[in-house]
Amino acid sequence: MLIINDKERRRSMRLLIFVVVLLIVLAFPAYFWMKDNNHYLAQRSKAQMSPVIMIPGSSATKNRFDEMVTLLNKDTSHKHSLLKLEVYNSGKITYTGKISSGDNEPIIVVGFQNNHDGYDNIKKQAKMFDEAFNELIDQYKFNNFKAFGHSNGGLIWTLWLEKYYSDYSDYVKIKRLMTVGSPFNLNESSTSNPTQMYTYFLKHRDQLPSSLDVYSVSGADTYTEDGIVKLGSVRAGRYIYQKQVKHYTEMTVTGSKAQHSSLPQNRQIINLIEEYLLDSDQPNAVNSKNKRVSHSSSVSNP
Amino acid sequence: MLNRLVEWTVRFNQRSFIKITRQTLMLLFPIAYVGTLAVMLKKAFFATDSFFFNVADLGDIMPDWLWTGITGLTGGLAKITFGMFGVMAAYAAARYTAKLYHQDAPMAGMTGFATMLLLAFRYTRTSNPNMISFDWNLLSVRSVLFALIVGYGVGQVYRWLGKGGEPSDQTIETLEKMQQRALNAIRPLFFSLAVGAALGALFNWLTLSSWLDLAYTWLENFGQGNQSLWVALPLIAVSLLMSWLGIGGPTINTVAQGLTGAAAANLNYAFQHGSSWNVPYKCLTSTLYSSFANFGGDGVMLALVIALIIVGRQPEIQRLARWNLLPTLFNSGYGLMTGLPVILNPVFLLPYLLLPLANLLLGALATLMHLIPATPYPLPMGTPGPLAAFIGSNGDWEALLFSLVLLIFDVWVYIPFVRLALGAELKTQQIEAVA
Repeated sequence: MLIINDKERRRSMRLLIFVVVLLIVLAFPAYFWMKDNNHYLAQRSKAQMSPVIMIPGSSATKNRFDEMVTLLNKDTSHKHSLLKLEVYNSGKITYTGKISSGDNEPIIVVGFQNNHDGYDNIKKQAKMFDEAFNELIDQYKFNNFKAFGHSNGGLIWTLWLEKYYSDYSDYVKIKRLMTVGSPFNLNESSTSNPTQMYTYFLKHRDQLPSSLDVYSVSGADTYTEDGIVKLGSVRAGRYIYQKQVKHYTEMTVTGSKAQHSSLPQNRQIINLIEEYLLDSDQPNAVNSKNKRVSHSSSVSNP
Repeated sequence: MLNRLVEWTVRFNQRSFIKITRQTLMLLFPIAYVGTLAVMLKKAFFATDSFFFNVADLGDIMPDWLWTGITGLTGGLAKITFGMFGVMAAYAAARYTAKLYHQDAPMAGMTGFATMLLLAFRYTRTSNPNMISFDWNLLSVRSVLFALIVGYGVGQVYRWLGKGGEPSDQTIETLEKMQQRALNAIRPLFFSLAVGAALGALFNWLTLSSWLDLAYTWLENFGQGNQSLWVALPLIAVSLLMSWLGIGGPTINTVAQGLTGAAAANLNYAFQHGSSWNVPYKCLTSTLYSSFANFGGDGVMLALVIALIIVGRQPEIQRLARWNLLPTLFNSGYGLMTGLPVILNPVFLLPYLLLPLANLLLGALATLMHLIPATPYPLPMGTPGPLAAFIGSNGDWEALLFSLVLLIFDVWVYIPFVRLALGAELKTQQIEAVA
């Protein structure tokens, strides 16, 4: 049965026109969003900055690395500027110091109001760090960075990498991580007594980026510990990182200032940071600039 | 010539399996439509990398609870409608097949339902005794052809082992009559379930579905990946053919461009140079497909809707087109696939396969000839097809114009096919009305 129903078709035509108008109306905000987004992504893609982000251990403040940065800056014509963030329990984040213009490798320290020990606090600190990190990439638009953590700072890094980093991994790349005296198994010296935190680390280790270079540095005051942290707990890190990240290197520093709390000011460790963690202070600094991994930006929604 | 085509189509449509398929798809159209809307809302409006979410900045405007609620709801709707589509299809197909041979249709429907579930049953030990594990891939819209075959098969079993006795429509049946029906159903039911269980065990053993899934995914990824156009074209053709057959379901186009290798290099180039005219890899299949071949989902469904509006005379066709216009604008074309239907409709096979390929080639040609820039910029999911090239080229007017011309070309190509299909439809109806 052939029914010609012009009323129906007229309605369809009206809807078609409506859709065309809708498309035009949508095109304008879409245009501005696109320009904005692409501008933002291009900025990030072109960004030269590759900061070192440092997290202090428990009971330490954002000023923990002041002396270390002074020592680092002594050796080189490239002066790293120092920016310090403190994350309050309320979520407020304060900034002290600044990144000087033209400094491509500033040092950013993130400290917490809640700087207590224990897995529960480490979980909170990882979350607080994530908020700070979010602000940092928004503000400074870097596309890669290096990480440094002393003591529990290394645990916060590990937790953050396993739990939060995948949100950023498409467009912000972590190149290297150095942990110093980080007790991956807390106070247990043997991995046959895994703590709750260590179990979590092992379980989610597949989240760790496979392109990452990790250096785990331990201090040794005696043959078994650095005065506070047990070497067995530091070395438990190998079961988290080894065979998951690109390289995992363990180093032990002995001699004077190898006690846990002195480690950040230890001459050997300053050298290790210069040699392994930083870009600009590496012996073949000229090459290392060119070697910079060409990162890939990505579809993202800032 | 035209008459012979119409006649051939009518004869094709009269084949029992095709007839059952068409009836089943028609019956399930409302379900598929709800699924389509849910997918559209999720993929084009509320997913964090969707078009509307980004453009309207919903992340800031919308309260979290509302967003979570809507995403949960649309996700659930999509899972129920599309995820269980195969079960419903097996039920309906078995029912219609039995009815075709004047057998006990409701019984056959239930048998089809149970057989389908048995086939997808996973014989794995679950930790929770209250949970049944199914192979959802077999039950979902991605395997609707399989479900149709199962339903049809069960219907045939009823034809073979059943004792006739179509239940009468009007009168309330006596208990005796009902008992007779139930007893008559035992043989075909047992047979169907036995075959279903045996095949299901075999599937489990062969992990058939994971192979199938691997194959779909491989095909899709391959078509979408960074292969050169010549390698990808035949694979895209195969994947389109499969979706026309009812395998693989809502496919290739829904994901935003994956950024690997060449695509990332292109995007990086574009960012560094501030334009995409001279990107290193100009003919990237993934980018070309999402920019030019994806107006309304696989097979350029948006063009088909517009063609239906232009030449469709039946009020039902106009209504169908109206209902599907908005979803296809946001690249959810499955409502139309079932509602017209396009699936297993011989008339639409040619444009369904060839138009996306033609669009791809024309897009590649225009890019190579420097008529339009490449389109490497990030494209949010569910970007309206006509805007895809515009967004993907960071707002190039030539690209926009080009995609509009492509769309008009697609509509123009679809029009004779729509005429043919609607003509054949009328003829089929007339024959069935006489019979």
